[in-house]
Amino acid sequence: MHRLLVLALALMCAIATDAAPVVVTPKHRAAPPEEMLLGGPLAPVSPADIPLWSRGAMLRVELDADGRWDGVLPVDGGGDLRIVPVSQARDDLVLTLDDGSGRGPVRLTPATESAGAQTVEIQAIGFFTGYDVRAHQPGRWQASINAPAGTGVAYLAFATESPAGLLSARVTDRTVVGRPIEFRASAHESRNGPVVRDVLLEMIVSTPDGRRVTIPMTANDGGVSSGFFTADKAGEQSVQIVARGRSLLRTAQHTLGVVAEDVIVGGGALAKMSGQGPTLRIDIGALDRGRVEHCRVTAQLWGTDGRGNAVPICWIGGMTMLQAGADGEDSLPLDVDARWIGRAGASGPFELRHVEVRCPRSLALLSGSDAMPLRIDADVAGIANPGRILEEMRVARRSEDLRFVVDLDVPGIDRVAGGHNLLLVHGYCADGNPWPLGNFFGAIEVFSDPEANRSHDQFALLLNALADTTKSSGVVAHSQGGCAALHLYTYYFSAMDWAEGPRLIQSLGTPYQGTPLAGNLAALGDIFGSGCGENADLSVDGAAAWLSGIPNDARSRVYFWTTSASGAWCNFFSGLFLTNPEDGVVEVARGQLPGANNMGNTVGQCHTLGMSNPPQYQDASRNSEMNANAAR
Amino acid sequence: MPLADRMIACTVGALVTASASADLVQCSSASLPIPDGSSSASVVLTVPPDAVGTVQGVTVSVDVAHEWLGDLTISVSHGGQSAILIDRVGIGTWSFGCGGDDIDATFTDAATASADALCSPGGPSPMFFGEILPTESLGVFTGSSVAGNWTITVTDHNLIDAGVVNSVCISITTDAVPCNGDVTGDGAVDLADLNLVLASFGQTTTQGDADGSGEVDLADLNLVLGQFGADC
Repeated sequence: MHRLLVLALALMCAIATDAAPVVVTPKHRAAPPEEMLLGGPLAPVSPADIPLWSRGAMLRVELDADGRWDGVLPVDGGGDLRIVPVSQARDDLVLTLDDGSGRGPVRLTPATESAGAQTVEIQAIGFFTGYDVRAHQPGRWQASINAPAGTGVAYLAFATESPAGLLSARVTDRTVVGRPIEFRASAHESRNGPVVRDVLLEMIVSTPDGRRVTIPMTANDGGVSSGFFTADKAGEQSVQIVARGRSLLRTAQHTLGVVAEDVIVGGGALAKMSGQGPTLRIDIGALDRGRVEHCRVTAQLWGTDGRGNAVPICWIGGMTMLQAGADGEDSLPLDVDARWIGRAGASGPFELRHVEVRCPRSLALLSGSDAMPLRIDADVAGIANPGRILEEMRVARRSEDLRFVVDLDVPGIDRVAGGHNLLLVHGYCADGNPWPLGNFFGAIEVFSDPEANRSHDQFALLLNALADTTKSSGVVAHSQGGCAALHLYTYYFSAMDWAEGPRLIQSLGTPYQGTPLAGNLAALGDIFGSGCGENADLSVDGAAAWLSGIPNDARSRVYFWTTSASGAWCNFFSGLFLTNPEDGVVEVARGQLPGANNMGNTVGQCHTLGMSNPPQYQDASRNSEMNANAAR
Repeated sequence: MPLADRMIACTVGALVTASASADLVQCSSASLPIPDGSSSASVVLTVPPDAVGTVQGVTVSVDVAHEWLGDLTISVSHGGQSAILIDRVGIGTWSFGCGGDDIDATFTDAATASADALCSPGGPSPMFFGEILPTESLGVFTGSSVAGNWTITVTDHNLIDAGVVNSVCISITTDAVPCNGDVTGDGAVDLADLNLVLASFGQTTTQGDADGSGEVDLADLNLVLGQFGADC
């Protein structure tokens, strides 16, 4: 398609401040039944099946007007206690701990070398001092903080070597305003160990308008506690689950998007041939309650075989906008290649199962239906079995009438247009481009959206605005940039569709399955502002919801690498909340993308600068390999 | 016309007879580079001025090698009329249009597939093949005189990807009466033709062999009688 290479382009792009309307064309995808059934990558997920396991704690303490706090710190286990006080006072803070062993209080300041005082960088927040208190005595420690007057709030982030932890999960699928959202949690002696009984659990809900509400959780006979809250406002919400025992404290930080219930699916669905080849337009009945943004809609298409048994046909999904029908009925249209019906040998009655409508900004479940009848007003009985899955069946023929407009802060663009480029992409809340430009040659572009907190969808649309100034683009992405590139390729027609070369998307340190750190970093937003605050897509259950809409066909275009620390942790703070091996932000286990190409894990590299090992993106050898194999 | 534009003029052609009407097929197979970036390559096919009849239908066959079909507009013009065959396919979905390679297709109003429908990432090469519905109807030429220049213009609107016109053919259906009964070649089917057939009747010869069978027989006699009185 392209044999000419343009001159190398290495252009930094600045984000303009004004939102501009951008037209995008959604891709509607289909996948074979084995991907949507139990165990498949597109099987419906419930957040209840994706609990967080936490062995650390983030204790929020409110200092008095003089900057003083006195309290009790429940500490279990033995060995080392790693603790980081985080506040606006930063290093101008004295933490005093007394484990009651008779050794007397230990006064911790940045000069306390005996307690392993070390500088700790918390991503996008700043530098603090962490301490490693060795050979401590478990129990109820007396703790105090002395900080400058007016410091306000501090967090004590800490973990011991005890295997005990907190298992917690959101169990409500739909997180909409006005409906109860339930969490369940239990403390355990170890990851698969028995429940710790003498523990009280509570949930602390931080609302989008800055309020904090503490809700006690009720324990059942099995030691599992549950609690719920009802959100009265849409937005990203933070829920901290706290488990308090006599000498045990654990917290887990959940981030979730709450949305207004502005679309409800129901009634049924109607399909007709769209007039473009074998494309079937399925209009899913919906009630419009003010929805103005696009949605991600996914469903399973089922039919009936010759013996009257239900037969799975395919999974369908993509971004779509609510459409007003001529008869006053609203619908969410999805296109699918009708040859899937021929392949399954199915006839009517047809049905859509597991219909899900998700808000792409947080992937919160807006509405859903376990099953709805599908009437097909077309002669599908004569559709021949193509014998195999044709490539064109996986992506429905694009329909111009499905295009919609999104408002974006479009990156400023100043370059020679029309080339075949490699796009270098950074991650969540990054300073800017991390990739050493000297490791990449040929036609390259640099995406730069510094210090920003974007959903995968927002990130992808910004990427699209840059990519579409070129004829074709491959991507090398760090961290969340990998999710954004995959999201763009999966859900929108873009310049990525035309890239040629071995590897379309190459990613490094990407949290495809989320990171427990997301919530903990977000929690610090109540001290340091929300510039890089809650991001539900990066949470563990949010990532699972996102991945449940990414077919293997799209995943197979991704080549991913992970790295991990050569020592116990990459970052003293994040190591409190991540499970080894990890890179300081992403656990290797959660950096995996099933269905994609795992290029391996490198030990001795961390996620970014300021960690215990060199940053992963400065590996010139890997960068050169990525450059040489990149599609453009 | 910009200096960078290229043009090939072609006057060769072939006249093929048919039973009810005539198809005039003009082709050029000279390789013509398409200048990159808002420039054009034109192929001019000239139908001799002594060709008679008016246009009843037109199809255009195009063989183009190009690495980014969304760059291209292809049109055909004749006698002050023009029709666009393709016009930057895929623009609107992709910023730079369809990224497919190559065309080996016949544009005809009788086709059902549009070039837009054939454009698909990962699709075949040539991406545009078979019979394709032109962007604008070729019926615009219906009723015009067949004689004169037929110009096929290929314009590349963008930099980066380049290509070449390998061949073009234009096939014109006219209302001219077929004249294979004019065995004397004097421009009319008349008594002289009838006499020649009768003189050669029953012989193996080209003289008076109206249907080209090698023999002068009843079929030749019927042809001459059927077209008797026609001006060719």
